[in-house]
This record gives sequence, structure tokens and C-alpha cells, in this order.
Amino acid sequence: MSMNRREFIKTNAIAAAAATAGVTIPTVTLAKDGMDKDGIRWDKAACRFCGTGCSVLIGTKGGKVVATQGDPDAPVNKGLNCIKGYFLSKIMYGKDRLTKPLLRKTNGKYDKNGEFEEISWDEAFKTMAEKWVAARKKGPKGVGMFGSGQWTIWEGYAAQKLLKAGFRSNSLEPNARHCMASAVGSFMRTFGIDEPMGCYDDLEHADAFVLWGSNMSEMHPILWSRLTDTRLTKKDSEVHVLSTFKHRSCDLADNELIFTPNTDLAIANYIANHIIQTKAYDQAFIDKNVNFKKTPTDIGYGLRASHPLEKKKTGKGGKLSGITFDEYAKSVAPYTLEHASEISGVPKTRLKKLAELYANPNKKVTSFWTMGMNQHTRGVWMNSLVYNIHLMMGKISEPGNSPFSLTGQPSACGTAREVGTFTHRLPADYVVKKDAHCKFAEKIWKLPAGTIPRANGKTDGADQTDISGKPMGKTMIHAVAMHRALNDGKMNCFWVMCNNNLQAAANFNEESLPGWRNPDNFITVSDPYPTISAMGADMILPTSMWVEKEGAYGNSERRTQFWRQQTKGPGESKSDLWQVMEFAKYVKTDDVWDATLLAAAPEYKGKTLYDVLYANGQVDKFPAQQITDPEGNVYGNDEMDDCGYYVQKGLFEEYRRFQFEGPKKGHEMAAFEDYHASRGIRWPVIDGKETLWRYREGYDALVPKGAGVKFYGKPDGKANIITAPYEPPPESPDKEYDLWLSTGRVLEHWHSASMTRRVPELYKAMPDAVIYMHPADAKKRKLRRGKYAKVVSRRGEIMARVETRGRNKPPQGLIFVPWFDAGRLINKVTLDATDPLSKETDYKKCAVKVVKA
Amino acid sequence: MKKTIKLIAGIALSCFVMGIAGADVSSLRGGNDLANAAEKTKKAKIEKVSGGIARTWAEQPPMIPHDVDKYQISIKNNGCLKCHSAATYEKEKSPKVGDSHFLTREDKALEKVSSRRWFCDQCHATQKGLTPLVENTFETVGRSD
Amino acid sequence: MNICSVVIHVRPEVAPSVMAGIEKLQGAEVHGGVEEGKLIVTVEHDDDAVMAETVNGFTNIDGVLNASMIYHHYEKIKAEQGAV
Repeated sequence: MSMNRREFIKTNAIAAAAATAGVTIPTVTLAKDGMDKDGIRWDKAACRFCGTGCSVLIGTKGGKVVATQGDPDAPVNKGLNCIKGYFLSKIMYGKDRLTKPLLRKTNGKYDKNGEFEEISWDEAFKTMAEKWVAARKKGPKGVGMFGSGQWTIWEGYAAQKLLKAGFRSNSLEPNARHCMASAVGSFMRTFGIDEPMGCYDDLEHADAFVLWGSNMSEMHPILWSRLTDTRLTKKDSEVHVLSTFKHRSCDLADNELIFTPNTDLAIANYIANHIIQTKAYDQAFIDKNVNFKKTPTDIGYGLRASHPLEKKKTGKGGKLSGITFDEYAKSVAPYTLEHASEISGVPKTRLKKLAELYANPNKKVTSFWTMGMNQHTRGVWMNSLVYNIHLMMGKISEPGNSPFSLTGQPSACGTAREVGTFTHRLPADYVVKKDAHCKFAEKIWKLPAGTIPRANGKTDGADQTDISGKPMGKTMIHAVAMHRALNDGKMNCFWVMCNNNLQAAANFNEESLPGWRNPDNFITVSDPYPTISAMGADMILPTSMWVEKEGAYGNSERRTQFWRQQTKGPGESKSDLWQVMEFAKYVKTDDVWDATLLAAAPEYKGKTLYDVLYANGQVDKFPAQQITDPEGNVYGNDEMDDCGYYVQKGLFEEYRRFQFEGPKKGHEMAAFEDYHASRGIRWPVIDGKETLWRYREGYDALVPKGAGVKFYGKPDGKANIITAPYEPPPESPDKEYDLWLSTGRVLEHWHSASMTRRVPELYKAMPDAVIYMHPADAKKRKLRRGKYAKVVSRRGEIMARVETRGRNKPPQGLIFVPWFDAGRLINKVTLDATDPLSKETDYKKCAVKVVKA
Repeated sequence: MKKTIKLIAGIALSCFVMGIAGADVSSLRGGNDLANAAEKTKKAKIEKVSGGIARTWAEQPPMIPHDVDKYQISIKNNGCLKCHSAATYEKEKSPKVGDSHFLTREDKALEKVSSRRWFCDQCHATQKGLTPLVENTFETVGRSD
Repeated sequence: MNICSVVIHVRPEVAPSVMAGIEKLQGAEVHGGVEEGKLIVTVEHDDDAVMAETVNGFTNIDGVLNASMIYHHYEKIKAEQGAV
């Protein structure tokens, strides 16, 4: 694009006139791809940060990114970025980029307590392979990999194959476990298929928005800008914000509901009760499209089995049983306005206003939620309670009526969920619990039946044999359990890639750090920067990031977006994709597969995992080619150069077979080239057309004519209304630890801030984490604004400055501390309680005290 | 050449900046061991720069060169626009809100700032007078007008 | 810098000839809308008076039904520090 100032103004002038006249001028865009007269090459890419999935234009000159800007042609953000997004131009240029593999050594040999020394990639993978093969002999949980919702689609897919098929281990988890697992759990229970039915167009169609535990203003700023636009321009539109503390999104709230932690369960049930009591529900919709269910209660808090709270529980798991509408009505009947107000601390008028909004058949309501609802020891329940409200009113699957779970990471949907890089999943919603699903995956991957470990270690009713000669046994292990297994010495090799789990995981002092530094364990961290995780590792692998490789992400509205490699990574750094595939060359099938499996596929005997998984005639099917854009600019592709074929395309096209060849419909994506040529496409893509609203005739091509609404993820086409009660959180404030602690993110920094704190402007905008607290709480403890204080829990303490007048304004009795700050690791304080159903950690509530430092 | 790099050794390095011998790999904690308590950091005031803070590339949103505590943004009011709006910037001798800010999502020009740009603090931030933890090697390149 | 945009309504059948007439005027440029009979025109000239004259002149061209200014941008400051 040639975007000098004059042309910019002129383009605006043309655009304004064209819009007024209703004339389409296709060439009118604020910026255009191609090369501008300053010699800057402009090309599109998906933003590296949150799940919104903005598109940005990358300006490259002399092999470096020299500018970025919002992509005016992107439907998601139409030229806008948030402050982080604008500063993408600088995230790759922190001076301490890692450029060489590093291994802890003493006297030239690996030593867990040694100092980092530079090594070659060959030495790195040889060392790692030796450790991994030995650890894998212990069983499928002897090794583990912790990936990311920031992996590109093909990186996640390659890792999925390496762990589940190559190493025959289900010990693969993404950091999305900390972020989205509760949403996924509820999607599967309620609809039988993952991800939202609506799309961002709901932001313009809705009459009212309800935020359930989501500070969109800071965490999804561009969606917030669209929501703000609607609120300020659409007559009678409303915004309701539910939160445990006042934050920036409350600046736009018509109805602000600050509730006591965990009582969102009671509030949602009150709304359902209100709808039933006032007979506002859509009887016809319910009769045709809904089943009623209940779930086991008192199911514990996902703590270690030895914890007293786990011993006390009376229920277990999430097996649903059918109930009638009347039984459902009875289950929510105790949640009267008085009861809900009393337990939540929210004034009755405000609760009633919210309930009446949902119950009004003439108001189109979109509900948004993120971590407030997912990082919740009853997160799966809570997600479902909101679906219950929408389903009872039939306010779903149409423009503006949308229960909408937002994701935190750029490809939490595209990679973690759709590729299924969780311990229990396979691509396209297939699961390792089902023998048939594993067989389907084995067929696509050209592997002998029984290669992939089943959840229960059995195929066709018989035990799967492990490399040790013993039965495989139970094979699933989730993220939090991985840290516990490292701590207990049960898992001995751990590879953390594309995330900073040592900083991100809860209970750093008691679980994470001792697990990582356990002398029995060998920890590898792949990262562009020396993060907290890198510091806690035994080996560090330097990583080429973001536009230093060809990539693909999938955002919260099912939009898949691609980008070309724009620049080369520094030094010897390599992409995650290359690292996964290259490591596979160092391990042979004979090292990790048992004799019976090898006998079933003698052609694979003595082969490397690379040969079997990637050089399989499918992934290596597409020859190397020159990558160009429509203007003829030429781009690099380092993985293609290294492998000799178009790796990304081969992986993507093999992955796509899961969407077309199995019994499950509804995940169909377009062909590889279509994504490079577009600003993203929302799946399912049927006959070349994207889908904006799922499950409704006229919008979703998979719904048969005359069906109206069909929740086709479930065999009978009906969604579940699942009742669940209020239950207290595992840890509440008491006399000694007298405050709630909620943790979370901030606008200026991306997660653990390993990229954004290296951007001077973002660092100077938000340098350190502070303790947001109520002035009265500070006064009571003789703390002064700007002075240091300690946050202390039963597990640890940190020190930070007190802030009583900041952007977050907690009520008395609660403090908020962001987790981005490597200097003050708030996860030393947090509790590793999880939702027993989703295994997602509750970072939003534990008990602490704050004392003078 | 083989380089030995110190890490997590309990030695507290006094400097956050890279490039000191034996400290090539350190996190943003500097030399502070992972198991140690947090260190106190320098308190800094918001930078006040008359004439504004220069951009580092043409499309960068400018940073705010003054305190903003006094200015609030709510459904009805936008404190920033008291000085930066089309109607007031000349009188207040302040930079005018960028022209792109007057366009709707559909590129329609408005007389007032588009409500999609209502919350200024989503892109513009004040700067504390601190030295960056790590040098950033992003290069500003010359651009024609 | 002094730029404005104008929508000029014309009878579609004479739009091509009107377009040719407009482009003869100083600083004027047609960007589209010929088929719809709604020409999208920009005028650039540093001198305000010349620009006004050009814009006013549009209605005198044969076949022009109406001309309305949509967008006008004027700035003295050098572009580099101007906000985008």
C-alpha cells in the first residue's frame, strides 16, 4: 500500500462520498497490499494476541517488519487495532531474542543444576530423544507436551500426530486448558459440537449485551469497539455487566451487577426461574428443540485426592440424566429474587432488570463471557446455565440472539479445539475415549489399528500393549495433573512450547516449580524469549515466531485466517513446526512402539517417527513452490526449504480429511489456497460458502429444509437444558485470609507479557502489576496508594504496589492482581483448584490477606 | 565459541539489561531467582512531553504526553474530546483527533468522532518515565509524506 | 493540504461525457459511480478559492443535476506528525 498522508486523506474522502452515494468503488480501501513507494511491502496477517482475530497489515523492508496497521479490508476489525495490536511491529525485536539452543551443563555434560551453554540443534534433539525414549518406557504418561492456543493450526496438528500416534501418548495438552476447557465442556454437553453458533455480526444485530465475567474493554478491545458503536448509535440498546469487581467495561454499563464470587450460578438460576414464573419461555421452541437434564452435584474441586475437600465430596463426574420440564422448574424454584439478591449481594432492582431483559421476547440479546465464567470450579455448569436461559427463550442461532463464549488466544479455537490438542481429543471433535474415533484417525494417518492409546487403554475390548510389554492402562492426563505428575516424579519429560506455563499455572510454589526442578525430570522449553518458563527449564530451544513463519489461526467466531512468512527468525531460531517435525527424526518406531504393533505394520519397523508421520505420502504430497502474493511479491517459507515440500499445505489438507470423511458433520473448511486469498472464512464452509449462524435453516446449509432449527451435534437434533445448583467455592475468605483474590489480564499486555513487556511503549504504559483494592480496605490495613504491600495466601506471597484509584475498582473484600508481571508472580499465591468436569483452573477466587511490605 | 551463561544461580544481578558477561539469559526478573520474593522497582511519574511524543512509524497511535487522571470516559462524556475534538482543538491548541476516527465501520464520514473510537484509552496510553527492561531493536524507517 | 470529495448526480446516459468535462477542471478527479449516475469526485487544490470555484463549477456542466460536498479536509501542519 502506498499510504502517505495525502493519499490517506483522499482515500477517506472518496470512501465517504462513495458511502453516501451508495456507490461501490472496489479500489477504495484505506490501504492496499503490495509494495509502496517507500519500498515497504505490505501483506496481511492475523494478530498474534487475543481470540478476537483482528487482521493487520505488516509492512516489511530490508527483511524486518518496520510498520504494522489495522487491516481496513478485514471484516473483524475494519482497520482498527487495540494498543497491543498496533505495537505488533515491535514484538519480535526485543534485544534478548534467543538464537541458539541452550542446555544446562557442568564440565561439558548435561547437569540439571548446571548453567546454560550453547549447543547445536543436533545435540539438543539427541539429548532430548534419549531422555524421552527412556521416560516413555515408564508408560504413556512418562512424557508430556504442553502446547498452545497460540500454535498455528499445522503446528498443533503436527504435535498431535507426534504425541498421540508417534509416542503413543495422550499426554498432550494446550494452555487453552487454563482458558477455554469449561466452555468446550459445556458446548459438548449442551450441543454435542464445539464452538459458538453465532458470529461477530451479532455485535451489530443485538439490542442488548450481557457480559458474564468478561472485561471485553481490556481483553477483547476491538469487539468492545463494535459493541460500543452499537450501544451509542442504536436506540434503546443496553449493556449489562456482571462482574465480581468494577472494571473498564462498566464505563458503558446501563446495568452494573457486582456479585460475590461464585454466586453467578445463583443469578443465572434466578433468571431461569423468573422466565418460568412469568411464563415468558418459548414453549414451541422448547418442545421441538430441547431436552431437560440434570448433572451430579457436590463433585469436588479438582484438587489432589488427598485434599480434605476431595474426601468430603459426595458426587462425581458429569453423567447427565433426563428430567421433565416440571422437574427443571422445581430445581430453579428456590432461586427467587430475594434469595439471589441475598446470596449475590446485587440489589434486587438490578437483578430484575437483567431477568426482564432476557424474558422480553422483543429484545435480541447477545451474552458474552470469557475467563470469569470459564476459570470457575463450576465453569461447565455455569456455561450451561447461560445456555439454559437462551434456549428457554429460543434466543439462539439467529442474528443478535447469541450466547457467545469468547476465546482468549488467537487460535484457541483454530488449533487447541479444532485440531484437538487436548489429552482427550482428536481433530474435528473426535475423542480418544471412543475406539471407533481412534480407528478413523489411524486410517487417515495410515497407521496400524491400535496405535493411538485409547482413554481406557483398550481396543476391541482388549488391552493395548505398551512398549514396556504391559497393558497401556488409563492414558489421559490434563494440564494441572501434568504439573502434579512432574512434582511426584511420575512424568519425567515435559516439552513446553509456545506458552509460558511456569508463570501461568496456579500454585507455583507447591506444584509447578518443584515439579520442573525435580531432579528426575527433563524440561524443554521452546520460546523466542528467555521467559520464566525458560529459566525453569533444562533445555531452551530458540523459536521463530508469528510472521517469521507461514501461519494459520482460528478465532472465536470460527474464522480461519492464514498468513505468509514475512521475515526470517534471528540466528538459529526455528519455528515450532520445524522443531516438532525435526525432533521426530531422532526417535524410531522401535523405540516407542511395542512388538505387536510393529508386527501389524512391518513396513514401519526401523523407521523414524518423521518417516511414519510426515513423510507418509500425504503430508509430503505437495512439492515445493514459490510463494507469491497477487502483486507478485515473493515470500520465503523456511519449513518448505528445510523439508523440500509444502509442509503447511500437506498438513492442512490431511487435517481437512477429518472434516469430510468421518461421520461427524459441521467442521468443514475450505481448501488451503482459499484462505491465503481471503480475510478469513467461517466454518462450516459448505459449497464454498461460510456459515454465520449455525443450526438454523436459511443460515446453516447443514440444516435440512423445513427443519427450522436443528442442533445437529446431538443425535436427536435437540440441545440440552442442564440444571445445576449454586455450590460454594473451595476457598472463601475467613478471619485470617480475609480477602478474595481475583487474577486476570490487562489491555496493554498479552498474557505473561513476554512479548509486550519488551515493547517500550507498552511497558511504559503498564510497567508492573499492582494490587487493585478498595480505599477502605487499604485504610483498614494502614496501606497507602503507591506503597508496597504483600499479598499472602496459604501457598505463598508476592509483593506489589497498592492501587486504590486505578481502572479496576474492587468492592470491599476483594482485590485484583494481574498475572502478566514476571517480577511478581501472582501464581505463587493462587490455588490450583479446577472444575472437576473441565479440569480448568479457577484463577478468579482464593483467599488472601494483604499486609504491609 | 562456547559461552557459559548463568541462570537461577542465587546471584542477584543488579541490572535488568542484557549483555553483561555471564548473564545472557535472564528473564524479565533480571537476576532475581524464581523462588525469591519480588523486588521493588523504581516509582516513576508520567512523562510530560511538550509537543507530543514522536511516533516510531507512521501508522502508530500517538502516546499521551500528559496526565489523564482528570479525564473520564463514560456513556455520555468523553473527557479527551474536551481538547482534541474537531470543535475544540484549535482553541485548546491540542492535536485534533485523527481523520480516520471520523469514519464508521462502513467508511462513512461523520462530523463527530465515530463511536467505534469512543474509548480513546484502547489505543492511546500515557508513558511512565522508565527505562525499558530490554532494549528493542525495531527500526524507524524514513517514509515519504 | 486541501482535499474534498463531492457526489455529483447526473443522468446516467450523459455520465461519461460529464466525467470527461469534470476531469478537465483543475484538481478534479472522478473515481467511480458512472454506471449509477452518481459520480464520486475529489478535488485537490491548495488554494481554497480555486477549489471553491471548481466545485461550484460542477453544476454548470451540462447533464449535472446536483452536486453535494461530502467531505472536506484542510490542514496546515506538515503531514508526518498528523494523526492517522
